[in-house]
Amino acid sequence: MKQTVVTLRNAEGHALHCIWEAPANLRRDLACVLLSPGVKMRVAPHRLYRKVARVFAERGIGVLRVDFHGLGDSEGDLPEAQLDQLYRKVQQGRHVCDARAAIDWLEQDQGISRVVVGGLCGGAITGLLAAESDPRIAGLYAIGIPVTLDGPAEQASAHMTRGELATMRREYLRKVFNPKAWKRLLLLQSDYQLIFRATTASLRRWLRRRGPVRMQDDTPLPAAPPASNFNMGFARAFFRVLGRGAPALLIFSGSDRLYFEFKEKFAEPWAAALAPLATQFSVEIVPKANHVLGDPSWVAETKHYTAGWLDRCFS
Amino acid sequence: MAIEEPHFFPNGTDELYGVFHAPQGETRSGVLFCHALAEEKLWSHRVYVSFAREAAARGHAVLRFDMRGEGDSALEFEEATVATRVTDVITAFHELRARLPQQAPLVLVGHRFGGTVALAAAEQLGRLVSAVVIWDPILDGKDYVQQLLRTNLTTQLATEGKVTRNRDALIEAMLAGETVVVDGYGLTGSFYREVSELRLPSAPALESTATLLLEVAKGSQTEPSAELRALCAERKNVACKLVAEQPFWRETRQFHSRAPALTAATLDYLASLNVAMELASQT
Repeated sequence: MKQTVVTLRNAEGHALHCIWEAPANLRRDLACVLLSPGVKMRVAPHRLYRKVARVFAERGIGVLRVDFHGLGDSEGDLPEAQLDQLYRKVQQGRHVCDARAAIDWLEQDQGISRVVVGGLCGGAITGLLAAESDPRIAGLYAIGIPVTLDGPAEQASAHMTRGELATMRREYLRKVFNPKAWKRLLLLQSDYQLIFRATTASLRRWLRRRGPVRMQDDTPLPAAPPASNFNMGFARAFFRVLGRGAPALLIFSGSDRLYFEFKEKFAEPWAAALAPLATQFSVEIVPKANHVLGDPSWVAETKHYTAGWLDRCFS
Repeated sequence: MAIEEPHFFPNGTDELYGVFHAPQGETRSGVLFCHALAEEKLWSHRVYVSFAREAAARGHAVLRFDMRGEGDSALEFEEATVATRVTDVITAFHELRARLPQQAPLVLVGHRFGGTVALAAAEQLGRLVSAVVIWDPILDGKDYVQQLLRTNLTTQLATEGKVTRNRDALIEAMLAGETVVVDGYGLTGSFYREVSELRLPSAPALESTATLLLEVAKGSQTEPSAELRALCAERKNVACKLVAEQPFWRETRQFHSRAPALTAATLDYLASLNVAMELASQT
């Protein structure tokens, strides 16, 4: 496989430095664009993108690995000092223009106008948001896609899933007879907000279900009001992209809260609307894996799911 | 912005990826930047880019590059060794040197494990290297591996709910031929042996190469650690300085795109080298 440096410009004029991995038997009907995950660059944690790119290359699919503006080697500056603020901007689509520039390059320079787009986390959500308005995107490849908007870490307990709160509740019950835990509680050293949320989760969920549900666009109605930190842009884009026939592969890590968030904050509330689209998207779980798939066996499973999806949808 | 040229260049049959930052105005020096190891490199990447841009704006040509086994360069992480990394630094050094005027001083700047590798390369490059600057030097390879293995324990806790193998067991496993995974990077027994033997104070290059060790202050630390002070007292060509900087090579809640204190101290040192060379040429 040949690696080439590609420098392209986004609509704002920033030079984006990317790597184009082209196999000898390069297909001209399909390419893949892997987008920067979080603040990591185009190689991704432990060079994950180089590893999964091989699965595409084995099928003759070239892969363009892209550094977003302000990240990696690319030009531009990102103003946020806090990661949660930066992640929130990514989840709102700040780098869609970079994804578009990458697809423009593939079309103009390589003559490839049909692409699979995505990546890990921030790369995945950017791919989805780009796909919403770009018909050249023929498929979404999403590893650990976030369905929520990040907020300050201090408010994390406010957005925990049922699974996370149940774990915390069990933990608190285990400590009921622990004098040290009571001492911490009485000395005001405990997280009272978290204790309250963990012990009243069911009641609050029941109350929330009573409220009316309204959508401001063509996004289908969920069965219950969305979670307060849910990214409505995710739901809108997901239904639009799948609605025009593009397939999606969603891979989640078993130990990652992002899977529980996807399940509880999107898949369950929108189960009825998702049912007719069930054949178009695959959700795969890598058991026990952490967010970055930091073990060779987890990477191998991810590659396996990737290969199966490509063979089913793009052979 | 100055010209930046990302490119691949050969190292034997393999390729290394690098970005050359052309200096603005007259070339004052050439800087080869040697990155930290594994995920520390990725967290630090934007800091390296910013440093290179600031240095280039002050007339220093900078080559940042990926050692084999990392970034976009050849080999798997598990295939790369300390020795391959030293060879990579030497190759990249010559790549940089070929782009600069003959009289320009050439400096190796290394971050953490990259500093250790830079110092080992400086020994082989001899008088071609004018100076070495190390950001947050790693004094003891054995301690460093212990730090790396802590990440494996954290992953065990997060995914298994408990630590089933402690650090001693992990080291034993590596020495028995198992590859132990840290943040997705495989540590082999041979890599463990190589790194464990590294002791910065006994690096031969420190005997003759002008070296600046920039230690990042931990907690309420107000002066360089005793070991660094002893090293500087022993060798006139070695200087050390304590700087206040965020640990940008680790995951924190902040997005670090610059390391202002390390950058300022390094640029001041590069400026002082230029002055020293000008004085030497006049006499």
